[in-house]
Amino acid sequence: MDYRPSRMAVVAKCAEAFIREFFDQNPLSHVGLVTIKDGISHRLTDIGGSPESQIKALMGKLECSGDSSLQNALELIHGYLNQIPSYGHKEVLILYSALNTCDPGDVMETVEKCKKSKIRCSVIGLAAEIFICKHLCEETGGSYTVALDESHFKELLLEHAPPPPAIAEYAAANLIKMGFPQRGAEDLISICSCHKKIKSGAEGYICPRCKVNVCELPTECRTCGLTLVSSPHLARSYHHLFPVAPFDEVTFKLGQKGGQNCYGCQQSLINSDSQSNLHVRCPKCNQHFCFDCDIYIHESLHNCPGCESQRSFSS
Amino acid sequence: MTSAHSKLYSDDVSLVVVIVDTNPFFWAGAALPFADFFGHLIHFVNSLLLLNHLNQVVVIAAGVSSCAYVFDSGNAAASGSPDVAATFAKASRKVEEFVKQDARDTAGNGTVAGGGAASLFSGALSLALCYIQRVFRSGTRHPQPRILCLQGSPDGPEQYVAVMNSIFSAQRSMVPIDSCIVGTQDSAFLQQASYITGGVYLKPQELSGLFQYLAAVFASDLHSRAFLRLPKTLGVDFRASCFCHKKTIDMGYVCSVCLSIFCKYHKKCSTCGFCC
Repeated sequence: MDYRPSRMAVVAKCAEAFIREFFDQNPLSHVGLVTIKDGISHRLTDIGGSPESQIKALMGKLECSGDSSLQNALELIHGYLNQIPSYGHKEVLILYSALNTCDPGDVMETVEKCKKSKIRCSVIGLAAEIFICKHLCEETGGSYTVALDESHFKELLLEHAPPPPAIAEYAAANLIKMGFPQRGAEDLISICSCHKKIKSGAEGYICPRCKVNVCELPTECRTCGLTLVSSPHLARSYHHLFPVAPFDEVTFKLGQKGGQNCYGCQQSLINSDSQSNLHVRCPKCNQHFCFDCDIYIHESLHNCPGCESQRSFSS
Repeated sequence: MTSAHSKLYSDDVSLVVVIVDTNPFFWAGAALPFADFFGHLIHFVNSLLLLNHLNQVVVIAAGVSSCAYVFDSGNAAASGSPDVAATFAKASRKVEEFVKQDARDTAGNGTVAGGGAASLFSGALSLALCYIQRVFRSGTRHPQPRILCLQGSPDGPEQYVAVMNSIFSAQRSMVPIDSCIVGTQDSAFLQQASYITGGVYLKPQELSGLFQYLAAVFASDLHSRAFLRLPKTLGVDFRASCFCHKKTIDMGYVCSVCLSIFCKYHKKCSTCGFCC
């Protein structure tokens, strides 16, 4: 009808892109997949930290049939997410195409249960706006959006990849014990604990607590349960904690001396056609940048080149 | 971990952004004098420009208090093949001006500790990446960009977050970061950078033959690298350092709110103030 070749195919493809982007932005997070079919909810994959197993399940044959039951899905997910420790932020993202929900009981009770467990539910609808989805999202603090077409759907889905701001009262702080494994020695031959295959030490990492061989990071050691990460995984999230200040829009005043070029890419900021010569300036280091560098700095680089190229003058 | 592969690039045309460490505290005590080092560098730049007439080279100097663009082959005279003497003269003048200005800024700023100050590598990397984004915007057939860092001074731990941000951005844009260490210590930042972005990390043993190392290892374009055996780093140390003592740890405690790393269990996280 609308999404080509079929809604299921489009949703699966966009979900794969979302999972890759999600793990890029949140390397220490876990994702699990659940399907709703014939009024019953099934667990498609376990909650895990590796994108490959999730994507493999998505690429398999996924069929649609029957009614959808929001209550059954939320009950199943509530059961899973209750096992997560309190420092973890729990979220559900529902990709919903149906126009109703056929439930065995009172779905409002389930919504209350999710709200009490602090599970943030968001829904992306493919058809039309439904009251129950809107109520669910409003109660739990999630976002409800309805996609207009395929590209809009992908855009809405990718908006859920960056982490949402956490409310201070709900964020339980814990110091979690984590291990930072090193690679083993070249000549060390051992069996890796994940695949039970013989691996050379240099291809895997050695858990610092129980000394078993693991293949990839981040993971949880199967023997002693220690979370194993490497410092780049933590560093990937630091830009959320130290964001770049938004730049101010400025224009050249008459007779102003100084840089006519963008500080970042050295492109000329003087546009001979337009009168305004509109560009941006960092409020901290007062360097001028073009709009393209502004977008790149705030969306991808997360460093202001001007601020980084200055030795700070405070002692 | 991902290595660069050609997209819509012209196969062997490269854009090399060279980041040069001009830290006076390091060069004052280095085994190789700065003038000789600069000579090696200029010969290398010229050989890059001679390999393919469409190659571009940009040199950025990273000082102690500032960073600046020092040479851009696109600005040079478009007519004819590059003239070695002219390249040398122009670049030398700009580097001299830059080093003098940097020294003035450093002297005026009282907070820089003599002897141990690090160069502003994070700033130079950010400038390089902005320039490369401009090249990406210039059309469908553009040169394959890569970054070459020549570092001598030690890493500045205050630049850790900014350097990691630049590394991840380079990884996303598939720009390899090569590193050539001209100092005495290995650089943990550049080891991680080269490993994550798929570049080459090298610490030459004989600095008097620096041009040979540069020409043999770093001059080849990205397409040809698939057919060459380049130096491999065996073990990159990805362990984190604790925020309290700055020593590398095997196991630590990570705050779930701000991701600060501690070596011992604390009741309260010292960075974000949250109590457990």
